[in-house]
This record gives sequence, structure tokens and C-alpha cells, in this order.
Amino acid sequence: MTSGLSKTLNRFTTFSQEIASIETLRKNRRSKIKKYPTLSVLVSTIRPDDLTSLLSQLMNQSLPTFEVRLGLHGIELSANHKKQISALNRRKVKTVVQKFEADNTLGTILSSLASGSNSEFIAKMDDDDFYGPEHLRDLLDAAIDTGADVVGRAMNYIYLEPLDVTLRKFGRGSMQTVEHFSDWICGGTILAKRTSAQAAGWFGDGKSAVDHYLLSGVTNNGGKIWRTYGAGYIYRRGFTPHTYVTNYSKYLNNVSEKVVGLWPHQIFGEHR
Amino acid sequence: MKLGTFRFSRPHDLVITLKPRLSVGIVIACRDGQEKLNLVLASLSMQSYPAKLVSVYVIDDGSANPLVLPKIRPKNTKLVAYKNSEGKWGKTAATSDVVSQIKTDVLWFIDADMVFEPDHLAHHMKWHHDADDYVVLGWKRFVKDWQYTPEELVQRLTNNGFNDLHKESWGKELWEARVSLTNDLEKPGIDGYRAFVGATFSMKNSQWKNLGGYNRKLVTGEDTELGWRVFVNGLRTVVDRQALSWHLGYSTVEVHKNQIQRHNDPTFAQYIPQMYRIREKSKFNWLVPTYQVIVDARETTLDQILKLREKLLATPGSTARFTLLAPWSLLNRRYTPVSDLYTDLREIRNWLSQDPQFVLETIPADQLISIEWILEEFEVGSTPYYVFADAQTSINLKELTEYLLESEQGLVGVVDKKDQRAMAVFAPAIARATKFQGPLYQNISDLWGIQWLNDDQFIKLQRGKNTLIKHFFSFLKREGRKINSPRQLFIFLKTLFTLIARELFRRG
Repeated sequence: MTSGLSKTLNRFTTFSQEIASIETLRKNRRSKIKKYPTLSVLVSTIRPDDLTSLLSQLMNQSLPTFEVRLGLHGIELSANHKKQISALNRRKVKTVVQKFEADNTLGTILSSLASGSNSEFIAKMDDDDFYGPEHLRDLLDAAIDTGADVVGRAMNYIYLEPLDVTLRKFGRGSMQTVEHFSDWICGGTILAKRTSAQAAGWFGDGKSAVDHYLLSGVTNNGGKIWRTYGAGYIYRRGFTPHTYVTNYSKYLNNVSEKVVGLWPHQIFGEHR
Repeated sequence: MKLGTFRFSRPHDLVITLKPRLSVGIVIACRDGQEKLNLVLASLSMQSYPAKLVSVYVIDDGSANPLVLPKIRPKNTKLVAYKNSEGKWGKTAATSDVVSQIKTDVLWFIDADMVFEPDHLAHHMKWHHDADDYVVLGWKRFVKDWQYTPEELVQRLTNNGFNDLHKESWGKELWEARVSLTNDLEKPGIDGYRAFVGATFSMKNSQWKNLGGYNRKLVTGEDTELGWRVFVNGLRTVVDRQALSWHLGYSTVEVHKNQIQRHNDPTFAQYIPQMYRIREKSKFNWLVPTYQVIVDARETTLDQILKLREKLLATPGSTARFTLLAPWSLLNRRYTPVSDLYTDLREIRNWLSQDPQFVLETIPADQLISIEWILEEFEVGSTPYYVFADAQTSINLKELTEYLLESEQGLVGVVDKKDQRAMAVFAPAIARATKFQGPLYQNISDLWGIQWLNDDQFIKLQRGKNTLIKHFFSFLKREGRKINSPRQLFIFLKTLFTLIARELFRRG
């Protein structure tokens, strides 16, 4: 296993040091990979605007080829979405669209999308989060390198939309340490061996806690979860309807750094 | 335009520009005082700054014996007779009217009773060659008498004799203390603007025009009010200790302090919210509010809005203008008092809509209020604090603005466990941010810094500072320094007693 980063990175690690170690790690991992396994990306979406953003992030992925299984949860594709999808197909990203009635649960949709795939790996992506161009490839790198059943990211970057800031939280807090086995990873970054996920019962059929369903299922079956670094993924806490309280203020504890807007670095893609 | 890039910081290694290119107009407004004017012009004729870049405008504001230009004067000196009439008299009006016609890059304003060291102007100008947002104050000492003629003055300046012109001189101790305590105005706090005095200051002509020059409503004290606007506009006031000068005689303010205060105080109070001590003497409304507050008033009650206001305005003499955001137009729909969907909203409107402190602004019921949107809503002017709050915030907005000042950030915000936001923005930060390209929020962050806390973190800071005791000791330290005479001691004791009495009274 290539990574020894969990021992060298801590809460004093600066952003540029973090990026430098990631680049070294990535180079080492990739030097051993000749061919990538097949991958299906599962997306369930109820927000047309967010889908536009996610489709363009998928288009920018550096992983040469993969499949997208797109579940439309009570919405229709716009003309622009269709254009984006044909562009994806042209760049060897086969996109399969499946429609679901509004009364389906998130768990049902994801499980159904997953069971329809034949790839060696499945990955889940959330339409409201932000993914850098190396996201999928980094996750596969980590999965191949560590042999884990599931790989996902730490929560190191959080975008709070009502404050329009991205927080960097690094090296402290149970969700912020990187490059080690763990029972928790960010739900929007799950990448799993198809066989392990299937044995765990995919994402269940619940309305929420679908990520927990899969992760605990894998762990209960004796599987292992690897938590890789969070850079390249920004978890978003968006505006919520006025009466719906989420207490996003808790994310402001133990912040290492923050910037206005989305974190401006190539690892997160171009957002400005 | 080149402006400051971080707060009020400025370089510390500037030297006199070797190849200056900026033209400068020297503005001297006079009413009588030919003899002193002759000395001023004699010392100006000795300035090392290239004469071809200098023009001098002597404004005769209705002297009893019309002023004349003496023989010893800079090459390019004009005498402008300012024809007085109603509303067209006095230093402020005369200066404003004449300056509006001047096209030089820089304007240097001086009193008509000054003698300048030959490099004085060159020191001002080195700043203006560095950037566009400096307002430079020269350094001056007061002298009681002077015996030299213009010819003798020239002679002595030629022989490097500036420092030896006077054996005895006085500085304004309060002024010098203020300058030192604020790191020569690099960290002006909220009171640093008071160091702005009109005897020798310069700025880019474009800044003078952006600021709107002197406020014509002020007959005296126009420099203090201008200093306030310079500050809230985010310009950098620099005190150059190398730009030396002698002030011939005491200033009128020193000689007639009480009368001048009686005259100036109410006008200052209109325009300078920071003048709490004056404002607290009455309950009148004042032209410029201390706070401009935008409140998201959807999902709230009248009681909550009033509490928010009461806490914010706890300091006597502070005032606020509130903009209440809500879908007010919904209230036009048919309803009955017993089945009203908008009971709270209607109550807020019906109680507050006629109070000039409150403005009701309609927004859609489902509008998501972004930080950038809020920043663009503020009308930036002479108010020092710009505040936004979701109406149900648990944060005391006055404490938030106090923390803003303490933190030195351009924007601080607190979000609580119920997702309610409160934020305060510092006038100089938002004012300068508007002068740069791009989003205000990003600019404020780059230029001044921003900070977001959650309510627990904020409460911890409030507890930690033990405000009252800390303030009391810093008051003793600060004011104690000023005691240099029995009179100052008396003033100190009087203020101390008033403060203690106020605290006791407030706490019942």
C-alpha cells in the first residue's frame, strides 16, 4: 500500500503542503496502474439546475471511460441536459437515463440504478456537491492500491451557501483525518466494489441514511472502508427553506482556513 | 486607480521621488493677514518640489484690505478674489468653489499662517506618486512669535535654517498622542479620524471630487468632518513626520475653545455618528445614522424586531436606519382579522411603517438572501457600520459591531443553531471594495478580511473579554495620558464621574 500520509499529515498541514503530498501519492499510485477497472456512476437527481452542474463536472473527469446511470427523480431532462448527455456519450461516457416517479425513495432509486450496472465498481455522486476533475480516478487509484471494498473521501472542504464560504478543516475531528481505514466517509464520494455493495444490499430502500445503509452493510459483512483525502471534493450545505433548520453552524468549529466562494484551486476544477 | 490592498497599511520606506511627474495645486484661503501670507508664500518659493509642477492659488475671501501678491512667491501664483455674497463666503465655500476649477493631479491645502520646510511638499508628493488613495497630513509645531521678514526667511531656508527659526514651540499634545497611539493612523480604530486637521493636507484631485470636497454646511470644523468621510471611504490617511512646518500663532480653536464647540457640536453630531458624547445630550434624530441595518423580517414578530433594535441602540446617542425585508405586498390581499395568514407581518407593518427609522422593502416570500445581495443593498455613505440580520438571530447586534471593530476585519458574521445569520460590515472596507472590480464580498475578504463564527464561539469571545472591566482600565490608561494640567485633570475626573454614574444608573 502506497499511502503513509495519515502519519505525516496533521492539523498544522497547510493547504499547499496538503496538495503537494496528494500529488506525490497520486503519482505513486498511478505508476502501478496499467488499466482501470470498469465503473458505473450512480446519480439520483431532483434539481434540474444542479444536474446541469453535475453533468459538466462529469464531462471534465480525467478518468478516460466510465458509465453514468442517471435517475431522474420526478423531473424531466431539459434540452441543455440532452446536449450535455450526448457530449458525454461522445467522450466515451455512456449515459443511461432512468425515470422514477416522485414517490420513490432515494434508497430505491440508487439501489435500482446500481443493480442495473455490470461494472466492477460503482460510485455514487450527489448532484449538489462539487467534484474536481480527478475525483473518480483518485477514488479508483485508492481502491486498487488499498484493496478496500469501499473507498471515499474525508470531509475536508465544506461550502456553506448561506455564508458563501468554503471551509477547510484538516487533520482534526473524526471526519477530517485522511488515508486510513474507517467506518465513515462522505456519502457523496462512495466508490464500492460491485460485489461488496450488492452483498450489503446496495443502498436499501429508505428515504434517507442510504449511505449509512451501504457502509454498515459492508462493514457487517467484514468488508473494509478506506478514507482517502478530501481535496477534490467540496461538500455543499445549501440554502434550505426558511422554516427548515439544519444547524450548519456546527461546521464552523475547528476550521483551519476559509475562502469566500468555492475554493479556487485546480484540484476542485474551475468554478470561477 | 491604485488603492491600498490591505486595510490601512502603507509602505514604510518611501523616499522623495527623484523624477516627479504629478502636478500640484496649492490652495490657500485667506481673509486678511497679508503679513503672514507673505511669509507663507516666501516659504513656498523655497520648496524643493519642481516649480514647473506647482501652481499656487491664493483665495482672497473678502479681506478688508484686498490681498496682494508679494514679490517673493512661487513662479506660478494666482490671486483669486472670491466675490462674497449670501452663501458665498468663508473658507469652506471659497475653497470649494475655487478648487472645482483646478485641474492639477494633486491638491495641497494649507492654512495662511504657516512656514514650511523646503522638502515639505516633496514629502507629501512621494505618497501621491505611490498610490491614489492617500490623504497626507504634514507635521506642525506652533510658535508664539516670529521676527523674520520674507527676505530673511528665504535667506535662512537657503542655509538649511528651518529648524533654527524657532527656539520655542509647542505641539498639540492630544493630537500627537492620538497619532502615536494609532501607529501614525495605520491603525486608526474608529476615532483616528479626529487627527485629521486642515493646516497642511493633500490628496489626489480625483479623491477630493469623489468625496465631494468640504461640506459647505460647516463654517469651521470642516476639516474634522472631511476627515470622517476620508476614513469611512477607506482612504488612507498618512501623517508624514518628515513634512515639517511652523504654525504662526495658535489656532482659533485653541483660543476660543468653548465658543467654537458650542457652534460646531450640533453640526458635527449631524454628520459624524461617532460623536456619541455630543449626540447623547439629546434625543433628536441625526442626519447620519450610526448603523444601517437590513433585517430579513419574514417569519418573525414585532416583539423580536423591537428587541433587536433595543439591544443595538443601547449606547446613548446611537441611531439606526432599518430596512425590513418581507413580502409586504401580500398584505394587500383580502383577509379578515380573525383569519389572517400574515398576522405578524401585518402587525410589524402597521406599527412601524410611519416611523422614519424604518423602511419596508418587498422581497419574494421564497427569496434566498445571499451575502453578495445584502452587500449590494447597503447604501454606503458616512455611516460607519452596516448590519444584516435574519430577524430571529440570537446575537446582540451591538456586541457584533463592537467585535467587528476589535477584530479589525472588514466583515464579521455569526450564524446560530437555528441557521439565523447576523453580520456587520465596516464602512472603510465596503467603501474601498466598491472601487475594485468584481464581487464586493470577495473584495472585502481580500482587502480587509472576513470572519464567520457560530453562536457558541461568539458567546465564548464575549465572556472572555469581560467587557466592562477591560474597557474601564483602557479608559483610565488612555484618558490618564492626557492629563497635563489642573484643567485636564478636572475634565478627566468629570468624565470618570459621569461614566460611573451612568453605569450605576443603567444597572438600577
